[in-house]
Amino acid sequence: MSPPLTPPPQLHLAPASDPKNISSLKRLNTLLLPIPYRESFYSDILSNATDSALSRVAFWEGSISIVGGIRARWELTDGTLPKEPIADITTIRGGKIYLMTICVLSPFRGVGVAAALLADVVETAKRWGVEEVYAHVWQENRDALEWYRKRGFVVDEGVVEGYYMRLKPGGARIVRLRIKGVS
Amino acid sequence: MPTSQPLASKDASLFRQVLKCYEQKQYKKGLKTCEQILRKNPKHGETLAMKGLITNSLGKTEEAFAIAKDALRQDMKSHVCWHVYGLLYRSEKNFEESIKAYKMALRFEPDSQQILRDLALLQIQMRNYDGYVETRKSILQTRPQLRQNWTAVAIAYHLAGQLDEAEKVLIKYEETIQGNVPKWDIEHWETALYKNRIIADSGDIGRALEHLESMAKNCLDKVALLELRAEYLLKLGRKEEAQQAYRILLDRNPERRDYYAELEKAMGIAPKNRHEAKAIYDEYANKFERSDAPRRIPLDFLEGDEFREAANAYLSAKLKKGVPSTFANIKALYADDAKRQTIFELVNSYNEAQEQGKENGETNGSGPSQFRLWTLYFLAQHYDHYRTRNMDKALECLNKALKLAPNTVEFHMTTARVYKHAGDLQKAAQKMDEARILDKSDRYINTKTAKYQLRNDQNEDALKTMSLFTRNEANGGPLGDLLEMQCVWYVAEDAESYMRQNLLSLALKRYQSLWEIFEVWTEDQFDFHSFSLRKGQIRAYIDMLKWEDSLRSHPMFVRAALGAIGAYIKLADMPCLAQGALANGDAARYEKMTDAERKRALKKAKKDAQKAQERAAALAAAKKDDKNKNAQVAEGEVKKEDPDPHGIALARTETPLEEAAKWLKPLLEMSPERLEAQIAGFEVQIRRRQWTLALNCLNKARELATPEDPRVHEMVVRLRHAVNTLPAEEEFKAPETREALLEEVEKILSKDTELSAYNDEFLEKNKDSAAHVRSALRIRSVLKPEAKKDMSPLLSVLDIESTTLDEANEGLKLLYSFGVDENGYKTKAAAKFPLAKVFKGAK
Repeated sequence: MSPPLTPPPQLHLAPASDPKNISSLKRLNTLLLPIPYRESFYSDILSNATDSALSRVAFWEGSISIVGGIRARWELTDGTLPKEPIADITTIRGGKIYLMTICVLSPFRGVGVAAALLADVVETAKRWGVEEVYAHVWQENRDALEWYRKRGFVVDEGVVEGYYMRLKPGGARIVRLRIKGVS
Repeated sequence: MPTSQPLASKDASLFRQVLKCYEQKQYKKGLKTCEQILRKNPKHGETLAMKGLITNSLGKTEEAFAIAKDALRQDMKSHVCWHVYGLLYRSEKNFEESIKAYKMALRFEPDSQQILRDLALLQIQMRNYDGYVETRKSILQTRPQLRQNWTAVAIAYHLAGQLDEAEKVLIKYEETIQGNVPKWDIEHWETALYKNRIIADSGDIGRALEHLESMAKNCLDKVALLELRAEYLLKLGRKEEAQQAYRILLDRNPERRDYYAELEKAMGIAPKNRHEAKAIYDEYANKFERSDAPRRIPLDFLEGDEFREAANAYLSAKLKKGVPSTFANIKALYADDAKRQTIFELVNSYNEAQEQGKENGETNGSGPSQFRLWTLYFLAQHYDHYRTRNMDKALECLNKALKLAPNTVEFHMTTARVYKHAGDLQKAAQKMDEARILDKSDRYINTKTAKYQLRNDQNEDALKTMSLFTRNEANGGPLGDLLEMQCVWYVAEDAESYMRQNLLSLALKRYQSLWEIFEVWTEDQFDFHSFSLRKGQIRAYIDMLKWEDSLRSHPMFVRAALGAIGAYIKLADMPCLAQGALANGDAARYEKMTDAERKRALKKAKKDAQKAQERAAALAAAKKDDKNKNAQVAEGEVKKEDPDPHGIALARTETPLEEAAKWLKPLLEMSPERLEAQIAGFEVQIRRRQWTLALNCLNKARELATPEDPRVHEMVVRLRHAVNTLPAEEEFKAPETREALLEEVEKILSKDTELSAYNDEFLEKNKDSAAHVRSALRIRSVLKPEAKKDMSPLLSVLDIESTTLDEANEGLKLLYSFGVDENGYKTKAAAKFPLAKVFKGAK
């Protein structure tokens, strides 16, 4: 089903929760994504332990510039955020993981960077025993939908209209990956 | 250079050589030098990047991308690698990705003028105004001494809608130069006028006027000054002064119609009471003896005796002087019955007087007078006009005129035109060709001849005619030159001719060419983003950008889009046409034929298509020989051979409706107010089973057309019928639902309507209109395809006096599309239109 997951030898992942990596991630996101994110989107990675555990950046050949990044968050089963940030992530059981952003510089696409980033989050998901990992995808982004499908995600029927205010058409599809194995 | 891979000095000089080779287009040498560096430094990113760039210039795009990606993986911190990557995307026209790559390049080399400029060009091309403002500001910071950099920031703000910021930038620049402007500095005054426009656009007309007057003494574009001043005064309601201002303009140019219209406004003359304006026109007519506008415009609003008097003065003066375009000048008045009658009476009276004079032997010796000739010519055109058509009389006038002056090209041309209107396209083309021979160096008549030949489906002859004026050694021969010169009328006429002959592959090929020409027009603005700034022609530049934004609302695009969509719909309905042309009627009968008959028909069609191709190939080969004789092709220039010159691959598309949708998108976006566009949209979407989209088009069409419009009737019934017979398992893609669709259609026509009866009623009510009858018959065949086709209403339409040749022709096409015997119809139509070739040959 999913393509071979041997990451290329030049690829290294690192936690995003390092001030330098955060600013790199921010630059990457502004460059590649059509939607600007609030400052807290990045600062939370530092302050919030779950956000920190679910955010990674990718380096190529030890270069100091990142080539890709992922940012996700943990939610309760009903899709709301926990009232108090979780201090000790080892206590987490269940809930869901929501992929907020994932992107890779175009020359580094198709070599397994995003797959490695996703695999890292999915591994955490398994460890925590969450129900699913899910994400919104722009309805016109066929490549992305196909990419998720190949990795075992299921695309929901129907479009969430008006999800992207800056894009036209503004609808999003939801993709979900059921997590079965619990550690 | 912040690269992580420094080269040894010898290799570094080789690398500089590579850059030079690329700039001088010595690609092969450049590639060799790259290899030389790579032998020692196989992982050197920037050399790899240059290798990719050169490979792309040699036409191997895919390979180029692979190399450039590899280059980046070797050295992702080099701005050269990212710049090359951006250039590759740019050459692929993927501007979004290109912009991203340039931005990466700038991260590693923030002050590179070259990259900043390239990025700015792409951003304005993509209308990414916010990004353009930022980039332009960076450029200004690095080079504040250049005026164009200041103007560019102002333009960026202006386009982004921040008028006050735009003005501030220009004010700041003016402060820095402190009024040190040479008198002849056109650029400066252009910028000043541009600033004035920004002020006016912000809505503060009073301040705009003030600013305008402050520079009135020195500004070099006097006309712009006067026009703007008059416009502002009128907008401010200072009518006395506005009148004065427009009078000054009229004294400079008494032919400009806008000035008169504005002057009327400034005088407070209501459109209903234009008679009051007569005095102004009389005044200017007296003042400017040779001026046309003040004499012609009053004809629009004068009535009765006053009109007769004015028209008499106008017409007799023009005809006596021998102005060939007199009829064209007053043709617009023919919409008014009384005026049409008066004009005819006047010119006819000249004619009668001349005839009488001739009988009395009153000739002045030196051949026929201009007045005599052009009066006859006017009358011929009168009899050729569709409201007053009388072919025999038109030809009679022309023959008289030709006897007097046998070599006058206009008379021959109009003769051809009369035959065209009578439906004898062959004779029309022949006559036009005769006219052409009178003066072979006249490009106008040459072009006309080609057009008439295309109307008669003589595609090869037409191209031959055109080739007398094209650069035939161009790539692709005369046709190649016509495409390169973007001769859109020819391409469109050629496409329409192939459509008539059911040669869909060639028709699609031509439409594709038109699509590409419009693409080129979009790309052409690229050069102006830098050129206009350098030349300081800002106002014209802004106008051009606005024009580009609505480029595809151009009538030629609409015409091409409707044609191409029609061709794809035909392909979708009758896929057998992809094989080649089937004779009229055969296509419709195809579905009913036995296998043997089908094979025969297809074989014949294929053979015809093949013959046509062979002929074209032989022609091309002959041309090639010619070309080789005077071949002087620049080295390194890659010539791309067209892999599908006859459009065969285009016609074999598996998804004709998706191709049609590609044309439909810009058509509906840019010309939603065109009824034809909405109809085309309906036809495509209903076949794609995109019910909601079809419904949207129908609803728009209902707003645009009268409720009795036959095309709307047709769409309403067809959609109702399609919805009624919708299979239960039909899938609906969210948010579309069956219920919502049913509800919306119900609003247009109730589901309880007995459609056949409804349609018959429509037919009965409109049986005197050819278009309505055709629509009703088409609907009938949709509702009951198996029923025997009763075509009598179509025949009775021919009895109506007002039925035109075009209408009759459409009727014949309908018969062909039904595959019904057309002989009875042809006979009847031939009696009504004896010269029309299409009705000939009834068995």
